[in-house]
Amino acid sequence: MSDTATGRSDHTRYLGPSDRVGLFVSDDLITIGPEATVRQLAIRLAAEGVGTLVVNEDDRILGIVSERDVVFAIAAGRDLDSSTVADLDNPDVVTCTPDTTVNAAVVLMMEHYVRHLVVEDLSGPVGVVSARDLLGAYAA
Amino acid sequence: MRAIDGVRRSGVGVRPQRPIREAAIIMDQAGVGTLAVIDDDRLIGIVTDRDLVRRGLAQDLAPTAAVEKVMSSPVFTIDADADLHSAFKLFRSNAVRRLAVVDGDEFVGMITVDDLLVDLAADLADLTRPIAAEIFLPVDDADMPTTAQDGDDE
Repeated sequence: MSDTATGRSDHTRYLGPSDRVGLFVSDDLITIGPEATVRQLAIRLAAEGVGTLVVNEDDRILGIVSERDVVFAIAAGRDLDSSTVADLDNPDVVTCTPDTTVNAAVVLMMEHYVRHLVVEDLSGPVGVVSARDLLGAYAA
Repeated sequence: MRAIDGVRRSGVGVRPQRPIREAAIIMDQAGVGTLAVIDDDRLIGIVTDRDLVRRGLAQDLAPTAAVEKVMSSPVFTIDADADLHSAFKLFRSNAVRRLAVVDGDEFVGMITVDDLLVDLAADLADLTRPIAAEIFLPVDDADMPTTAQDGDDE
């Protein structure tokens, strides 16, 4: 099998709504523990250059945190050096598999009012796919 | 279409001297990720949720620090009456994802690449549906019923 299961290196054509989500999955699953403080979360988001991190503990996925969650914590006046990722109000994680179609993934996002899905295969989570990642499939 | 027609959300602003925390509250309440930074009715910058995180919190700034410390400036603007196509050009030639739409000196709203993409995708879908139907559905004039068959109500 080629590396397209998780990578996006060898596209030679435009991807469309009936393609597999696996083709859009970001390269690495970037995670953070629930005990990290909100400020550590901000530093991690900045260092990784991403807008979202997966919250995990012992291979178990607890949620997704984003820049928006940090903004909400600032707005709520939380102490950013003592409140933790676990204190943030993360919605339940919505998952799909690499074989889910782009169309089905978009429907999932709309049904659950989320912009990110955790992509899992039999071995566990392999990445995250965002609404913006998939938008290209419709605009191409 | 004019630039103003590409604005999907009314513009929300904050003053440069206000604290980061206030910008966060406005973003939260208005449900937006970008604020115009406005000083004496003049648009002087843009601040995004990402700026609050990466240039603020991650750089050890306190929520009481001023918005102007984390904003982006100058701002790419487009006139409200300008052709929307000129927005595409600006996006292409500058590495920005948002343009501030101004009417004279007044900030009226934001155009984002994402909003334009969503509109374009919807337009494309409208355009391609009839064409796809023509291409993929078998069209065979000979099989079209042209007269009533036995047993039909008509």
